[in-house]
Amino acid sequence: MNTWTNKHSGSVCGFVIALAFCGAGTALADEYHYTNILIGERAAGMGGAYTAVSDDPSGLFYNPAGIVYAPSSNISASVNAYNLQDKNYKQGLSGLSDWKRKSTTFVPNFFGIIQPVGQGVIGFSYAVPDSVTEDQDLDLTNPASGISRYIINFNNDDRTYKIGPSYARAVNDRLSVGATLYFHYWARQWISNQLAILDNGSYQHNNTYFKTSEYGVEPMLGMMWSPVDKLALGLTASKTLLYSSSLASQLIVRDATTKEIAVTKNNSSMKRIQPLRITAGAAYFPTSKLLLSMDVSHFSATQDATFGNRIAVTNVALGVEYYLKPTLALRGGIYTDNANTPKLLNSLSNQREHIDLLGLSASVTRFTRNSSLTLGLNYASGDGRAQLVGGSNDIQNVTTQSLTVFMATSYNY
Amino acid sequence: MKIRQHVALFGLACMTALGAAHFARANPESFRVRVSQETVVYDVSKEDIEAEITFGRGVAARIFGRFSRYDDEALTRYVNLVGRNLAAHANRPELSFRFVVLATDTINAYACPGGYIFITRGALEQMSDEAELAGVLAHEIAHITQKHIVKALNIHGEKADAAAGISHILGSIADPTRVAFSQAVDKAVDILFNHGLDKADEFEADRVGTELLVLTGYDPHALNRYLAKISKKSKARETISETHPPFPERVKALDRLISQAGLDNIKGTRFKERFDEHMD
Repeated sequence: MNTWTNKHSGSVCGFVIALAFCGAGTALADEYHYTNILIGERAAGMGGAYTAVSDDPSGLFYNPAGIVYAPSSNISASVNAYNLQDKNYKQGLSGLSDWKRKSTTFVPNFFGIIQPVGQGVIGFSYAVPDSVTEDQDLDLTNPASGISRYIINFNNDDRTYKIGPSYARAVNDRLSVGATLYFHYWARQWISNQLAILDNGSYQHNNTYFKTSEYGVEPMLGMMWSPVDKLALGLTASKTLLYSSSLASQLIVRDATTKEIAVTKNNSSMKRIQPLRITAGAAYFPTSKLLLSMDVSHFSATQDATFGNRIAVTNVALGVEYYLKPTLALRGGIYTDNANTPKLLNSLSNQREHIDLLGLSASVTRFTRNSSLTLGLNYASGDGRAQLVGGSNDIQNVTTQSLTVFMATSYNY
Repeated sequence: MKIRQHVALFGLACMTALGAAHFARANPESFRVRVSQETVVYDVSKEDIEAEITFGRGVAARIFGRFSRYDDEALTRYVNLVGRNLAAHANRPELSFRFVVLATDTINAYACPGGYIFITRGALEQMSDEAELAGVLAHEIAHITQKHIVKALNIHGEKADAAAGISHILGSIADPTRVAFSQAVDKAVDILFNHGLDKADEFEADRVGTELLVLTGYDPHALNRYLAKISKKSKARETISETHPPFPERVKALDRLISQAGLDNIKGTRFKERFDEHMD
């Protein structure tokens, strides 16, 4: 979220209701990572290592230059994903109990269609690379000294949408170029209600509400080159350019000691500064049954006084595809998803969590004459550190894991 | 790294790739083809396809020498719509299928290589609905998708193995090759009108045709129903039986296919009214 929010929420809440800060420094759907839900029927099974493959509608998202090499003249593809995320902040509740967050969301996270027109290929795609729905109802008895009961009701909806056209064309037999222009929309709504009943009968109540939305465009330029037989190299560059952003928050605190109610409202139109992304990929096609691919993605560091600095991140993905027979293919992948936040220092407060993730993917596809059906899994996990309490130097260890089950179809006609 | 450096790096990589691409030796359209796509991607050369089409055109011309075209534009358009809808589900996207109604009472249909399909007016008159028309057309399309005549006569393009069949003849303009081409066409016509294809090819066309019916949404029993019906017609027995396996064997084989493949429960469409409108 942002520094502006941290200051307000952290200073009001105090140590009893530590989670008032959690909306600012922690995340499930996840501006602190760049690879949250893998996109694409083949690509998601190959750990997202697809920049040098991209010869189907998923290429609209990974590397538009690749759609020139789609094997059929007209192809559509869609993916539906069921995503579970789990994050455990060790001793996150007042230093005694763990705080666990879970999200389950079912989202149609990709649709793409490509079609040759004239000398080139046009396409249109829709992608949801990040989606979280949290709905938590926690009721703890004696969670900490002096607190007899602690109730948290918590809801968070957070989605990123990309939608837009693409165009690609061959420069010669071995080189193609392409571009995608995504309309970018990010929407998030966060509501947290927390009630702490103390041993002496008094109580403290916190209600926190955030609503964020931003609009922009994300142009992506790509090229695909085959320097030698059976080898393809892909390269893309993209950057999200925001033209509108809004953030509204409301914090209501009823203090246990003074019994006074404080209401704090704020609005902001500051825009997040987005990194430049450059991805280079290589794909090796030794036979018609085997495909090996690798992507290296680099995200630039950003200096953002309002929403926090981001460090430069480099992620690597490896993927493999193997056909057991013409009607059955298996895919696997491994990928890193490193945090774009600095590592936490013991001497500072209000730091954003830092968790580096490692992911695995696998899928199986059944082909018929004109269509395919894919079932796949993505699993990512990692350990890191976070600061839940605003204004405090306390640091919590965090473990997180994410499982996505996806079903995808494609059809050529 | 600053944005300018990233952009410069990307630009440099693009320029390097553009320059190097001039000297590249690779065919990405070829090595990218996955084994699952080989069924829908051409598994023959461009020359082979051109040879098949040219050869089929020659055979079609001979058929026009025997029968005249039935002069009903609306009916011809309708038969083409039904046929091309079926062909869209077949695995020969490189061919443009064309369907012609022949002005004869003979009950028969013919498939020429390259996508040229003929059906007689006599055959149409025996049909009860559009599904039966689709069944017959699907059987003929299957002969083309399975390349029965192409394989029987070993039709190849110019670049094919010179030792194989009539290869090279379609790329040459010398008289001997014209004669060879003409003789090959004669053989194809002989197959269509006198000796027929192998029995196995006919059974395969029945099977693939019925599968095509199901893929397109028609009643899977349509072809079988039609065969059972015309087996009782002496005019059909005289012509079709000479070039095809006996009707009872075909009907029995299709019954077995429908049962084993679980097609019994599929309620495909028949479109009787639409068919009747065009036959009036």
